[in-house]
Amino acid sequence: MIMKTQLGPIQSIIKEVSKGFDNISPDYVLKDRPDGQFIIFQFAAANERIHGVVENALGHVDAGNPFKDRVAVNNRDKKPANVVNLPETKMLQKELSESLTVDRNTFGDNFTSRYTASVTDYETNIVGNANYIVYGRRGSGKSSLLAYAMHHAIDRNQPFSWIALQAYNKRTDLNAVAGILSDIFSELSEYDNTKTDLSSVAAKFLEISEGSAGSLPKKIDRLLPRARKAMAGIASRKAPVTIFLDDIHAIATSLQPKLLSVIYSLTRGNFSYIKASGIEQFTNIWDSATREGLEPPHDAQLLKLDHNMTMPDRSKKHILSILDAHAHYCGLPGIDYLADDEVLSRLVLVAAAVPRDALSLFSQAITKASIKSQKAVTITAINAAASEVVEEKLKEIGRDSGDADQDEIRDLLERIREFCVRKKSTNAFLVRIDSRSADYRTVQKLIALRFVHILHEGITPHKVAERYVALMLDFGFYIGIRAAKSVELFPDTPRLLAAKELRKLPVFNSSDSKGVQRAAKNLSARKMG
Amino acid sequence: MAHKGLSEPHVLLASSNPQRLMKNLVGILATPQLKKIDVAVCEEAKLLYQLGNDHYIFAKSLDATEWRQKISRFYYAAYNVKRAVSLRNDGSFSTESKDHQTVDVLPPTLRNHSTYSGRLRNLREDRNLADYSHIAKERDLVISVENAGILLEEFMADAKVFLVSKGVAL
Repeated sequence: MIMKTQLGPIQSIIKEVSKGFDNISPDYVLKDRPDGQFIIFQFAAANERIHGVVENALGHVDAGNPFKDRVAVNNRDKKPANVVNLPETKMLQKELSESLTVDRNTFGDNFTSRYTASVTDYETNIVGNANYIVYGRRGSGKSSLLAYAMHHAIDRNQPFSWIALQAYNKRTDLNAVAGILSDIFSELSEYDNTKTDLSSVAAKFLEISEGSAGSLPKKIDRLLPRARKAMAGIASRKAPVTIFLDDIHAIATSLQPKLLSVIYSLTRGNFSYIKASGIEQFTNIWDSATREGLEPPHDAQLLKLDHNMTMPDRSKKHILSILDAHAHYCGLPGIDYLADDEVLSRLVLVAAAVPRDALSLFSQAITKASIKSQKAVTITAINAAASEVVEEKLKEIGRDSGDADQDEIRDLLERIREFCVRKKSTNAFLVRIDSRSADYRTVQKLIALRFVHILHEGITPHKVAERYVALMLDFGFYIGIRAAKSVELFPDTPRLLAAKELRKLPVFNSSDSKGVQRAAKNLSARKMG
Repeated sequence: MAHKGLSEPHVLLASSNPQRLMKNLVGILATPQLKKIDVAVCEEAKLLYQLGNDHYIFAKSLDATEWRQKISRFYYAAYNVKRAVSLRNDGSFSTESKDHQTVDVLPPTLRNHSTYSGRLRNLREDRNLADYSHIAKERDLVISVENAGILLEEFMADAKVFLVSKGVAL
């Protein structure tokens, strides 16, 4: 017979409280007093959330437990020498990992209290009654901004549908459009007031999405007037309908204007609005040849979040405010409790001021610091994490870009690495802005994939009308445990960059580097031979 | 129904719960009459808050070495402010000694209610220690005298916001 081990009264409380912190046991001490013992949970900076978790846990403790009323939450008397292995740090690490993917469910009901506003204060725009396209690289905060608008709608009982387009990844067919429309109407049917037939429209679009390709356009077009009428049944000036399309770049660029065009035909003048997000370089919202889609600025306003390294000082503040919010949530006074300012500056540079990359890097740096028995998060730990993150980014190439682009992306990336690290010993460079150049177009893709980062969008270092974009190669390519000493880091800290500094950067001339690349290829071919 | 220290006629002796009284007299008494009861209850909440404030001011004035007296008065300050909050929140009011067991029962709409719930319970245990344990030392306190003062300052400020929002003229 297996005997169930009975926990003692103290252990029961520790277990309940740990459950409230996702099975991470907070530090505690037993305080001896003349009237008996007290369990004192210790945090660096306890707050209302921490007290709430403990109070909730105590609510689950047996009424007869003699310690039920003898539990306290106190701040530690002094900062421990080792902050890396604190339970609060483990909580933070878990919190950071879980917040890396933002969707409609992120933070649950606590979204508004835990949301950190964007650097550009786009929050006032995104909740407006207009169509918006939010552009940004992976991790720049696109989905967060859409989620902010979604919670704004929830708070005001306004109908909406949220479609994560990753489910239609790389789809090029019109069946996908019918499928997305079915999803939209299916979600909107939750607001059905019985006078509308949103559910049957959803079912009809689903049927079309599963049909043969031939007659699809006509079938979709024929259903649009009925769909528009159904949408009008739940939309009003006071409670407009919002269609959120998250990661529109996930579907094929050829299909994006078609999808937007069809949805716009339903929403236009119907108290309904489209709010979409995407990676700019992989998004095509307007097809000028077919005149399909949303033509900015009159059909839709663009909100661009990719300003990261063009204003590094503001980006640093933004990233630190996000990290601080997570740290407070976990009972820490701030992120500077775990890493000093120099380390946080390096973090911002290494993440190229992309918020999600910074969170991911910091989480990994905690692990690196712990493995190395470091007492705080150090620059060495950040550097070590960075070189691993770049490997992850390399794996993402095929995910966001078309398969056909992969070779040219890898090829140009290799040439830029060669130019920066081996030839010029610097991480920053200029590229001439020339939309006719294939290399310039590929550079845009490298920007989108976060291999290179914009320091300045357009400077004229030599001749008037000859404009250059200033770029920084991702830190992951030249730092390991420590930054490669041969590479001069620019910028050295997240600060405002002066035009005269940028003008001095070396110009990456793609035709020159092709020679380097050809030589490398020939060498490799000879070796194989 | 009786409350220690109160004699008739008194609004808190008219019913075990004035909030419930008003609710059940709707349709019997006119709105202005009900309003008069409500105003009288608000006045009681105000007096309870002021009683708490008097204890707080006295506790602050005591010398730091008087840790037992300070903790005791800080607790009574908190307890009476809590009574004001409860009376205005759901009409609950008691003069029984067992009422101290509910010092941690606070409305969720009170700002930082979870923090105060746990801390007031701790302060109650500290007050018992300070008042009754002849062998206790100041270091035995769960909340230091200094932190108890800070706790009271914050609790009274948040309670004031709550009470004012419920029509209590503080």
